[in-house]
Amino acid sequence: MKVSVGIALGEREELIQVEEEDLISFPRGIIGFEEFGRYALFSLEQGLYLLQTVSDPHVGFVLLDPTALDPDYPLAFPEEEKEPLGLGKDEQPVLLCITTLSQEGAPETVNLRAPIAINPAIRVGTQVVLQDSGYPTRGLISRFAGRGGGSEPLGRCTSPSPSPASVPDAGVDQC
Amino acid sequence: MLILTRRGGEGIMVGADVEITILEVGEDHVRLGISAPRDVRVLRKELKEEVERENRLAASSVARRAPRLAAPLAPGGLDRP
Repeated sequence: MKVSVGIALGEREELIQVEEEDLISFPRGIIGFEEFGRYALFSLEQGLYLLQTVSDPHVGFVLLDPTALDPDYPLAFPEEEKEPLGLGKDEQPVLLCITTLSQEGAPETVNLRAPIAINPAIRVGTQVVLQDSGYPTRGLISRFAGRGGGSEPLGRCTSPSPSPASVPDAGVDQC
Repeated sequence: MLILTRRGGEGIMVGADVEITILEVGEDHVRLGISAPRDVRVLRKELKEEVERENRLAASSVARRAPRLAAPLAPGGLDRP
């Protein structure tokens, strides 16, 4: 069966038909949006995704694949979070991180502390908080750009930013 | 707000499924053990609030600034391992 998913795009709204079986269920919701349990995931350009609830056109998240920035992310995924996702000990979820868009509509910061974890096999997801990880909730993406494959852990402030002039400070975690 | 006095080793039940145990009482801290069903998210309050604030910012940034996402949207995208 098809489900209509509304997506708010500025002033207008787009309606997209999605197969119901393609929806991802979030039994605990996403933090702050616990009332929404069903989402559709869309691929966007440049390795980005849109996670859009079917219940409210204004509640959607642009996600990115954190391993594109740091192949070692995350340093550890909590074992106790696997069972609710139907994952065995040796299995790993797909992890995608929520971004916040700049005025221009491009991802500006990324929440590495609380990734979205999905088990694609049963299409169940949750937001996991990596409580003692040291990852930021608001990491500047420009800080990591071009660092993919580097040995420096993503988002952990081990050295000063290489180009501070280009890094806007306002309201952004600098560790 | 319900206020209870408890000593180390004692516990509190919230509903039928959530159990909070006082593990250790220090001078300026308390260590708690919490067992809850898997669908109950247990987080430090300040961390929950921080993530919630960030999630709200993220969602509103998409709703307001995403006209460029109007490019064809493909469902799925979970083919990776």
